[in-house]
Amino acid sequence: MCKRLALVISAMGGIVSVGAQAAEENSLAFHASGQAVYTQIKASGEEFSPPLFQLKADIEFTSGNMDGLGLQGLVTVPMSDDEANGLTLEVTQQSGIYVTLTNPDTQPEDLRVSVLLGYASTEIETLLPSLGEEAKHKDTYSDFSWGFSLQDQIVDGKPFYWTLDFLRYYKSDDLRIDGLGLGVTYAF
Amino acid sequence: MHFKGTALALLLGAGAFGLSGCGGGGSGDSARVAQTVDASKNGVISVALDDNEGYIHVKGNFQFNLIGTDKDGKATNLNEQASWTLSDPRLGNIKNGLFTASGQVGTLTLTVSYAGLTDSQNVVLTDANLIGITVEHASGSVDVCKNTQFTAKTVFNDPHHYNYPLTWSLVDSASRDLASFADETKPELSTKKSGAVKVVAKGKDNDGKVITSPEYILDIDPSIVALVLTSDKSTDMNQGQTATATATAEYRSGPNTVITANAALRSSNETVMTVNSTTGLINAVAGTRLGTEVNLTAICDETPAVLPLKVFKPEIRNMEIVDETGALTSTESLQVRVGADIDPRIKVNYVDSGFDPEVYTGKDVAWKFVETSGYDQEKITIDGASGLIEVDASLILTVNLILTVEARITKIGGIDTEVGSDGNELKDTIKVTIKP
Repeated sequence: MCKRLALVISAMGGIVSVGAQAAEENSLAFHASGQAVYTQIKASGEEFSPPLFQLKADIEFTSGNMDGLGLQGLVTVPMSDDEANGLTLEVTQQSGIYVTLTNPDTQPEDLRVSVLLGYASTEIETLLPSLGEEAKHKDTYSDFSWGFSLQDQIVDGKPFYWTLDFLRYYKSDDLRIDGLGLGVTYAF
Repeated sequence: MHFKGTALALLLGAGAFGLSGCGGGGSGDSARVAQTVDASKNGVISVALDDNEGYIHVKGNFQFNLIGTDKDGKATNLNEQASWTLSDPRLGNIKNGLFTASGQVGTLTLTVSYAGLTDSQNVVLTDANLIGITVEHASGSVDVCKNTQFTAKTVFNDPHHYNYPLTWSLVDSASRDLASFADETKPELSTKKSGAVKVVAKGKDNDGKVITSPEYILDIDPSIVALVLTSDKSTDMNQGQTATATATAEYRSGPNTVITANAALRSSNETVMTVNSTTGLINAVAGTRLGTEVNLTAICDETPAVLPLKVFKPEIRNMEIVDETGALTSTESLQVRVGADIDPRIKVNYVDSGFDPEVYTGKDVAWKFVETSGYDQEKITIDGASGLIEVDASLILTVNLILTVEARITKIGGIDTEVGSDGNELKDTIKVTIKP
């Protein structure tokens, strides 16, 4: 396991702990999002793009010492699978937890840019009937994950935002999992 | 601490990119997905390890092969795609099917998987003692200037055969005049002359005693009938250009064969062109405007080949007078005091942008003062060939005297020259201030 990944996880734990203490003296904002995700899974020179639907919730400090720092969780459900050369590939589950970093000077009407650093887990099921008994496999890939998020208010004065995300969920020498999501966020 | 500022966010974002480099450390057999995708493309439906004895010497190695078969029976080697594991990694390591022993005796299970399909076998690591070696060759002869491979049959104090570390050599100087082993640990012989060579293989037994094979006599046939040298670029080369030369031999029988590394490539003039005799890479070092001729030669068993080449210096675009330091820095004027001298230079720019400007070193340059009167021509002189300006100490000046110097390149490579490639005359003028 990558040592730097352990540092990130430790840092996330520390931030959550500090955040809990700081919550009493800082204002918090809550957001919930739903978005369609175009997933790109690349392995052995082939690309698969099974569409997903993603639900996200985040909490963020909006004042005080931790202004701009937040915590985001996401879960994904499959919308469909993808197929190439007789191989069917489906993302059966996906989840992630991220620290979000946003410019605290961003106003509600501004384009909001956030950096996401965290950990993601993706379960992939493959089915290649030609392999007979070994046709079906399900594996979970978990690792450090990072990405960016853009949000822009849909209508002035209303708490709805367009959201465009890019996240890298997993990368190794053999496999890369990326996602590009577009959806709507509601700010509580 | 106040967590504010886009800069910090960007800094952490940059950190995220750095952290992304640790990918692959997470959980999940990502190779299996890649293998399954691979299987969907090559149609493999079953895998099996290629037959082998399963005995490996602790001093040696062994290449295992995983063969995949599609529904039509077509075989594919999957060594690079498969995942190889050893039940006891202390006994050795394996990569792409190549097992390298660590030196310990023992037994392990080798398991190889591909897209969820697996095969495995037992492997025994022994320290059997070497008692004999026999050198073998497929045909007993080779065309001159070709490389050829030997094999060694090793005999141990058990019934198995092993890959065992051996060294290869030629027995006598007569053999070494005809051929050589580029790497004594590899059984590949490079030949350069015809005749008979004596080859032996050697290995050490468990007590360190050297076991030597009987001499094997290989005939190097004088079968070459012609040798041709070619270049992958024009034989007219510009200074600084590189190309690759190839020596191709025609034999009495069989196809023409590239024998560059065995053809003793040489340059007739290494100040003009160099050649790497192994790779055939030729480098045009220095040429002239009209081209300097140089021969690339090759020889195989007294059959020679010559490739005449010409190295050109690039075409001059224009010229400019600069100061005597030759620093190539453009200047508006030069200065010299009474009793001193100055030796200005000519900077030339070339047409080809690949050639940097430089101080002109050609001989045919004419220097003169533009003014023909108004100064003491005996005490202020200019060398018409070199441009050296000398001001005699006896010259009496009360104020600065300004003269104009002209330089002109009259010939390049012995040919009269009037204009550079920019259409202007190859000449320049500059003011020279003579100070009291």
